[in-house]
Amino acid sequence: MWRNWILLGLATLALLCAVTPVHAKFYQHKESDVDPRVFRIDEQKYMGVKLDLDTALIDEEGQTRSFKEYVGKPTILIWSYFTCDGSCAAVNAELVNLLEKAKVGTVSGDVTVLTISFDAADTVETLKAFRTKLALPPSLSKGWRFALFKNPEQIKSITGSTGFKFFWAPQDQIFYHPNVFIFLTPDGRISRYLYALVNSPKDVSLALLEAKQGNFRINETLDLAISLCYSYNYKEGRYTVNIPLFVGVGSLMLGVSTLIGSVFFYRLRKNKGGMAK
Amino acid sequence: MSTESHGFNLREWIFTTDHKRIGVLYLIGSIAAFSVAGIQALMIRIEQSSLGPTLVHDVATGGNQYNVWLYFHGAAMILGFLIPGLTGFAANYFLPLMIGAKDVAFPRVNAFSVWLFYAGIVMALLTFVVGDPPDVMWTGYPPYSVLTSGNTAFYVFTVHLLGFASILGAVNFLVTVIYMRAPGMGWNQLNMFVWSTVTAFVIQLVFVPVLASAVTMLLFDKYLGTHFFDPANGGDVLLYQNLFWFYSHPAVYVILLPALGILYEVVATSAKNMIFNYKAAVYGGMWGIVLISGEVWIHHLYIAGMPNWIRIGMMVSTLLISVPVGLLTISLFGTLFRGAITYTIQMKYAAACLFLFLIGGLTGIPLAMTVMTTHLSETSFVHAHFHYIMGIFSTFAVFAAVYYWFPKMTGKLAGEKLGNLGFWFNFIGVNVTFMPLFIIGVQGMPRRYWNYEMFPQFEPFHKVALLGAILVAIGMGMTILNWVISAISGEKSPANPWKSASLEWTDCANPPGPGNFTKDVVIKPEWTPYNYV
Repeated sequence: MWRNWILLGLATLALLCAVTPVHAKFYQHKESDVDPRVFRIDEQKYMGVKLDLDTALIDEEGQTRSFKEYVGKPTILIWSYFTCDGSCAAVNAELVNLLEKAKVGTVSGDVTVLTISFDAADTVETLKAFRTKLALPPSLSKGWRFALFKNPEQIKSITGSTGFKFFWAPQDQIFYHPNVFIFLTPDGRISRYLYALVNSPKDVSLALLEAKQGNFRINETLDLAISLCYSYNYKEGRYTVNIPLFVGVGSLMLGVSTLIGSVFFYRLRKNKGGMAK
Repeated sequence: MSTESHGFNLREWIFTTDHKRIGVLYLIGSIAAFSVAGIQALMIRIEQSSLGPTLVHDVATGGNQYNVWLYFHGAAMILGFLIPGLTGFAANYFLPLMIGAKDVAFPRVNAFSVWLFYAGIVMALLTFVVGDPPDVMWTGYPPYSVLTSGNTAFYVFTVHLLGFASILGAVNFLVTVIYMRAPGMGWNQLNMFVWSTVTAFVIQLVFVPVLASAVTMLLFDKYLGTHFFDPANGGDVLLYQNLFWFYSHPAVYVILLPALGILYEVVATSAKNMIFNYKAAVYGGMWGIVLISGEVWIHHLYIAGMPNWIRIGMMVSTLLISVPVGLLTISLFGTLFRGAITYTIQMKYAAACLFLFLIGGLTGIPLAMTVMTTHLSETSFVHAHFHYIMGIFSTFAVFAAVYYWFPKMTGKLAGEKLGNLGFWFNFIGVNVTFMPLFIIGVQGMPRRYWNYEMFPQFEPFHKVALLGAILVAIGMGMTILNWVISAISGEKSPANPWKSASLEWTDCANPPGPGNFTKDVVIKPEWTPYNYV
């Protein structure tokens, strides 16, 4: 009988021994969770910053190109890494979705999307695999470019110049990084950040309009007029209707309508006076 | 219905609906605001005349104290003196006389408007009574105006009262000019002053409500917890500046246009000349300003964040406004050309205005250009520029108006000796005050610094500026004293002392009685108010 108790005790002990590391690992994992606020980009600090356009990149064909060759039109920059099996693919896919819904179908003509890896271990092969997996629709594929850093020692400084922070988590074998679309003007300045996965096609359209820096086409006049109705809401990280602007514009009508009313009243009074006479 | 009685009756003055009395009430109120604002200006000059605290109590609170002076000086000068002095006093008294109208379209609304104006003045003067006076300049920029312990509400309500008064005034006078011109009077027979006030009132009517809405939202942000202008909570702080200047730059033309209108009357009468290029000046100059005035406000925000294409577009429109302004300037100088100029006191003020206008206008060109504004913005160069083009120029125009129409209002001639002495003190004083500020502005003297210990090299210039301010204070004192003495015991004026051809001189008594005109005015097609040929 006592043997049974000993066996039960040993089994319990063994179970405890087995569970404790799991338990420890679980809690260790929780403790290692990164506060997302760490990755928050100080937008006011980085807006307007011009990227180093002489930075050497490697394109999909393995050729060396400078950053300058990719900009020249409004550009959406995504820092990703191509072996990422988590958010990177989702973020890029989300942008495909947003651009299609926003009807920015002319990515080749008006807009460039640039996905650059911040992982020094990435190669042209991983790049191609990532691109293939993304399965870009034809309307987007021409203007959507993928690149690597030619000089890995530049990665920290160039990504850092956009306020982008990342680090390798050995226990998870992944990079922790923010998921953000960085909108660049044609001369390579940061004009807006939109955090991925929380934005709408409207936000993307408005951010692209901002990035155009006044180089509008005639058929975009209406879009420009509509864009004036919105302002970027830093708290919510999206564009919201600019209520004070509506109040201001509405008030423009007040004085004019008072004048029209007064003219009407004066004429009415005058006519009554004339009739009485 | 206009009423008039013999002898002074306070009740009649308070409840008057006579546009002439309302004009005088505007003059008294605006001169009162001007006097207090002038004292504040002198205090500002004294404070800056030496490094460190001069008038302020101590270093810790000196900034707030100085800000209150700046606030009152700016708000009272613009909202309490210049706009009511030009569009309230001059337009009320003389516009109906110039168009041959017996009254204005809405006399009771006119009376209500002057009450609102006085309420606004009282509200502004309460600044000196309340514990935490507003210290937000005349601009009221958030976030400071929301975060400050000062009573921003006083600022907001002052803007509301004076703004509402000016909207009512604008409606009234526009309807009056449209419907109450003397029979036969065509649009091209209007006095330049009438056109200038019509255009100024159009600007007032369109743009004042925008300022009112902006300051109302400011009030909500400060006292009701809204976040219209709070970027940390989804608001847009720059939008306030946009809304504010969307009105407040056109407000410059609300001041400038009637001031120019007065100059036209004085210059044409003193030179006995027709208006040079009348139609170009009216339709190109005045209406050109109305058209462009709403597209230039961004130059006040060049150093705020905005895309370059907006900066450049607004630079072009800002420079473009020099075209209509140029048409008016050429027209004024052309009116003087080969004229038989009589240098009365009002003509001296008008000539001084042309000089001040030239300095103020030319120094505005670099400020319109983005590359130069980046350097000059927030320096005393800007301070000197807008004092020349707006503050002093328009003040001198009001003084010219008072001297020109003094016989019309009082039936007496203003004293020449004290008037001339006051003029020279004023003219020399303003130049001695503000010329040094141009120089140190270019060298980097910041605006609105009560203590500039980090720039000791500018102290001598501030001392010179103080000397100029003292001259101005003496000159202004002489001028106002001259009016009071002349109104009480001045020499009786002839019916038309300046030999003007305008209706207010040819067809009205001095001062005009009830109904303004002794007989109905009918205008012949060939008549003009400048028929000196």
